[in-house]
Amino acid sequence: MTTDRDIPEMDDREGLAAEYVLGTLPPADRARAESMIASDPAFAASVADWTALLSPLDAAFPEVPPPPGLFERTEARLFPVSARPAPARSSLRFWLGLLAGGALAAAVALAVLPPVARGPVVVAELRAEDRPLVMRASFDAAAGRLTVARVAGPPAAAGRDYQLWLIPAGQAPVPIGLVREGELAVGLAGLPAGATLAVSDEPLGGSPTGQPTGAVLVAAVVGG
Amino acid sequence: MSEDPVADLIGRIAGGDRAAFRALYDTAAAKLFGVVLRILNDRSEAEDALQEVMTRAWLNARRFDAGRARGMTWLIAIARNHAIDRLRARPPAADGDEALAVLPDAAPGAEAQAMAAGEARRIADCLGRLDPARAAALRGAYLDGLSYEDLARRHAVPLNTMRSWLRRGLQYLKDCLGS
Repeated sequence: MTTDRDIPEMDDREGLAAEYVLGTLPPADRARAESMIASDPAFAASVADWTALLSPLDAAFPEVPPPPGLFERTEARLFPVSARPAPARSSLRFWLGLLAGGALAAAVALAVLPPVARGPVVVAELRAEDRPLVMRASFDAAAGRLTVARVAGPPAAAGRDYQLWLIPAGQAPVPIGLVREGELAVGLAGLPAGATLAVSDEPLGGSPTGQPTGAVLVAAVVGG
Repeated sequence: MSEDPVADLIGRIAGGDRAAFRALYDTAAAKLFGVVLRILNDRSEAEDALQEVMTRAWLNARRFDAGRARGMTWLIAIARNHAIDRLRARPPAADGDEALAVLPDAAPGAEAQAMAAGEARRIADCLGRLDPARAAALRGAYLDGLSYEDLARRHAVPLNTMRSWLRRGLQYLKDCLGS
């Protein structure tokens, strides 16, 4: 039998990574570990090592067929069929330009333009009545791209970040990214029907818990 | 095509391939449902959790690094983390051990069988060399999502003792698997 005397204790940092992967940490330490994964590549690598090390235990989880229809429910959440996209102004101008330029120009332009330029684009402004902050969100379904930028109001306070969340209807928020200077652009294949985009005030680097911890500043319902 | 078909599917999903998303569900959902069901021990909550796990897989596929993790390992980590977060968000059980008592030790025979094969064999052998109570605590943490508090109560030891058991147990596993 192996006894404690034979086993050295690991240092606190590695211990935190190992215990995070084991899943035993109290919520506050768990949140601290998650914020370190986001901000500290060495710690993230340690978590990845421990994940791989313990992963053979996954064999003990049984396979249990989920109920029929669960995939369809997931899909319906992620990819609404009844989205109400508005054509982007830029692509509208593009088509108007083609009409003005005549058929030959149109044929040439169509031949050289990549097909993704024609996707429907959903545009939403995220705002709140009592705040100057305004974020503009634009989702290009064909390109699978969501972009968000601050268009009015102050930047995040010192030591804080604006964090963007996608909240599928009735579900927990999913962190998307941090909105700093310039445009946040992320790959996103679809906007779930009735989903909300929201921006919350979070510690620098984003919420340590994976869920919003600060005030939700602005929001808009998007995706149909 | 690599030797990790799940990783290949996640790579295609990162490019927005919905057929690959369907194929990933067909391949991985039963395992992932087994993970969240075992940890949450509540079928309806596990169904919600599985939807959330698949949603996160779709949204985060671009962050998957096939050089760092196997596809299935990445998915199971998402599932375990989500289920554990849900578990910790539950109001504490009124009388401690009653909630734990209904947690099955999940068909020990089937589990032992699964652990006797392939890669799992080595970690099972290493666990087998640890004090049985400590090995049980490590399994209870990883497989059932039990917290320090749960484990300390279940094994009737102080919290700090349990923490030390687990840390030393983890260190031992690392040394044992590395040797």
